[in-house]
Amino acid sequence: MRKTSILLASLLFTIILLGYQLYSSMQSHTPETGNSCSVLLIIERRDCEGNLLERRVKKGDLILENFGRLWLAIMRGGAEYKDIFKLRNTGGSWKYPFYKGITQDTKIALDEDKSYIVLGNGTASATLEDYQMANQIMQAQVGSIGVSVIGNKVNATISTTFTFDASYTIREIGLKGKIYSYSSGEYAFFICRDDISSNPITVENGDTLTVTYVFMLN
Amino acid sequence: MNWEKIERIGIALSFIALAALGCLVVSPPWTEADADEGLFTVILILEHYDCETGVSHRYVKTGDLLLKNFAILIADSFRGAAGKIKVTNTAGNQITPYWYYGGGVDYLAYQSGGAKIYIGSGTGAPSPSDYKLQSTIKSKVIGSHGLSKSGSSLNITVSTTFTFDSSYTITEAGLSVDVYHGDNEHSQVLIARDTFAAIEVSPGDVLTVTYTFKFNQG
Repeated sequence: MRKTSILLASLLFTIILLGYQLYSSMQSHTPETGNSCSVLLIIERRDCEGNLLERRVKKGDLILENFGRLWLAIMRGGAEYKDIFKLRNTGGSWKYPFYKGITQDTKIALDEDKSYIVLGNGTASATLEDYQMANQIMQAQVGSIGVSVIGNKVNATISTTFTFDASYTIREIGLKGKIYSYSSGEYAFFICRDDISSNPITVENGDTLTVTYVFMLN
Repeated sequence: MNWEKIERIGIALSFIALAALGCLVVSPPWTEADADEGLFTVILILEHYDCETGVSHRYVKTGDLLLKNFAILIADSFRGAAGKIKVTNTAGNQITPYWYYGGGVDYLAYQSGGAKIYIGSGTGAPSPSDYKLQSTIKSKVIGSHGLSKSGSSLNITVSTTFTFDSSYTITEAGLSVDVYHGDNEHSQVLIARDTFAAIEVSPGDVLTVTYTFKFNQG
């Protein structure tokens, strides 16, 4: 009798938990009018045979001041060469993002072929004003992008894969683009950087690391 | 197999299921969260000055829907070696964002300062695939802007003011950026749209519409 009671109680509790889990998952997929964009970093480490060794999803990749300034300049810049529209390049200098030919309107031109995801082993905490990695190890050009829509939720993904010929400990990850400016020529600038030094990733010779930025809208 | 054995197996399975579900509920796998959350939110502020009563009303809506176009532009702006994704302009045409400049380089370019704020009278629920307002009354380029920061938080604002010579019922607003899709061709691409409780405006009234992008704030 006692065992039967325990069995029934356990089953009942399991059903309740299962129901709760189902409810929670439905909640997170329920379309809703949203108003935000969250940046997620997905890191997948595989061995030389392609076996998945580790997968991490990190919420909270810091959006840098450059990203906000870039969008402000896109929306409002125009012919106004004011400091508020300047971006900070990877050398730490403030630069206008504008391109303006003699007969052309002011535009902001992003060199599409020169966007990179960058890995480093610096341990400095990420700050809003960062313009460079603390200690860059390597970079790889963005290899794939995508956009998906489920209900009101829209995801933009930016991804690349690194292959290693030695062992490294990755402690920071960043995303950078390149501007073609009239007054400053081409310059690179970071829009995201975050440190993962509290939980670094160690890769071995032959490993691959796929890094994906997900901009989750709404 | 007797009843006691079935009971024992049942109890064991229930506890295993409970433990597994408990893990799922308490700590979702692979996820790691930061305090800053790499998040940006969009706030829509509507300030209506009623010229007849001399009273101003202020409406703040935290829920302006970010559209698929916006996600595509983020991905396209940092596409590296990946192929471009088309956006839909406010005329409903699918366009490939690019600006080609001599030297064989392809750029993604925005007409800086060309962004517009729209107001309209549509009441249809916003959807990520929206590319225009349901029923546009007026549109105007951004008139003023701002940038402020504190710690890792960054706010940028863009704003414009509408005046009226007739009565209107305003129930929707949108924000677009001006995107190049050829050497000299560019058009408006809506990146945010939302609806709200009706605002009745009369001749002489003033409506200021402000979008605030709050970066790294939950």
